[in-house]
Amino acid sequence: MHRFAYHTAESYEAAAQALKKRPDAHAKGAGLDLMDLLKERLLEPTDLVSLHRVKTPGGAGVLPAHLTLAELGKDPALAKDFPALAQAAAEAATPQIRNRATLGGNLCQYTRCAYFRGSDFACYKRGDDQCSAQAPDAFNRYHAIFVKGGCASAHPSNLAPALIAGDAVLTVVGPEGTRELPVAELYGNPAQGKWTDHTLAHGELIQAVRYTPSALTRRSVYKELRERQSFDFALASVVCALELADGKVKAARIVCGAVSPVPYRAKEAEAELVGKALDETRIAAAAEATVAKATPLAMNKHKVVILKRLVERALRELNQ
Amino acid sequence: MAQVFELPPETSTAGRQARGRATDSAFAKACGLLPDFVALTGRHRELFSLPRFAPEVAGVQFAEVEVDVETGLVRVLKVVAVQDCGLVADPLLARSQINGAVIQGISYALFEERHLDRRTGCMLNPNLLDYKIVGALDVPEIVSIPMSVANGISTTSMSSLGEPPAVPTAGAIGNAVANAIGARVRSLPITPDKVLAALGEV
Repeated sequence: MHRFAYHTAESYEAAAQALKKRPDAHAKGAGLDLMDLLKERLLEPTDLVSLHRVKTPGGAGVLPAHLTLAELGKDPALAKDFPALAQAAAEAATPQIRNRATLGGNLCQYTRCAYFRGSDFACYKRGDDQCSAQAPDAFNRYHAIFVKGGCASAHPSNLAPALIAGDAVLTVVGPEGTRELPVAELYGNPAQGKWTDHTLAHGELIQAVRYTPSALTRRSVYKELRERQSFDFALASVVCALELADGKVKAARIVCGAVSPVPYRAKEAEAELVGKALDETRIAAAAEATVAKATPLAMNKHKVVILKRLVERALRELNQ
Repeated sequence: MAQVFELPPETSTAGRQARGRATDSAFAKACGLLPDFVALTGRHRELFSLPRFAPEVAGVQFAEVEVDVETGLVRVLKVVAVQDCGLVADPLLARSQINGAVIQGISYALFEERHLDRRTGCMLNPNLLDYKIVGALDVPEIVSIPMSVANGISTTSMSSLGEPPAVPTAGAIGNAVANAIGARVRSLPITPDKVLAALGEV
């Protein structure tokens, strides 16, 4: 492995300052994704700034970034107030990984795109001017069906779609101070040479995630389909949240993961539901509207069908 | 040796004498080890008279699968494996060996695949996350039945039981999927995209 200096930060502020001083340093949470990337020599940071000693207090509707996926998945209050988030955490990876992986790390992980992770290939995210996954004969069974610009990678985070559906807001600590950032604005369009999916600047760290328990978050569900049940990333995932009043949909959120370089909010599908009574016709129309703008690649047309079915199932479950 | 396997004392001697010449069902039945309904004739007779240490074995497997026809996801619910493995010395070990082979066979049927980039020939999944092998949550109920057969090939009538039970699993699963959805998936692994294509959904 590449040689690096290791620093253990005592606070988010100290970590932000340590990162600011070193332009080629990298923050480390549990390090699950980072260690793979170091071993593959895809990332070669001069310094690692570990956050494992940094803890911030939680509270009602405040989730500290150091919480593990296992803790989120087993939290009884979360299961009641925001079931989609608890389900998304509980479905991820393996029990061992869930015991280590953190909320902050899950939001900031790098894409699983095989062309991104294989240094033999041209990759738009790594700075090349083309995307190998979009070549005519590429192996793109697991790639995006909503291609954004030059990148066809699929977003890996389970939690991000749930947090976007729940209108969650991040507390971000940076070298210049603390700011609030809606999770919906955490991810920007892929740009050439921008390795990460998120838009945090160098030195900025997620301290906590805040959400307000509401009718939307309480009636929310997470659905995903993966080839292997034991340890696999989703082929497609969706979070649906509904606010129902007088038998009609008052507000709706449909956010998809693993089908686009960043979480995909299907606003057309939400518009199909709002103000209407939820029946099978509505559900089918919303599922159809979710994939209306899909531009699948040669090998991943099945992801369009799967996403539609997941939306239907999620809405049916919420309607019960 | 004969006592170890609770055989009549003359059996192992008979086996030794029989070695090298055509061994037939009469011999095995005389030992009281070959079921009456099995007759070694024709091709089977040749198989059972192969040289020592090169026994050919046979097995049959049954698979019960559940196919989600909306998403193409296949899950194996139950596998029954009956395996001819010569004379069984340790039934627990033999069953365990069959379990392991069936698990590997499920992996082969549903998950394992080298993804190659066609332009460069480079492997896209050279790690044990992306090269998917079966995990605990994907392993179904497995009923392993070692079928004790005195084949007379060696002094102990024992045969190999390492890999042979891994062979029929994928075929059984493929047949079960075809039986469930009314269409055949003609390549392995049987992944959701191929099932949806076979169903005409994509």
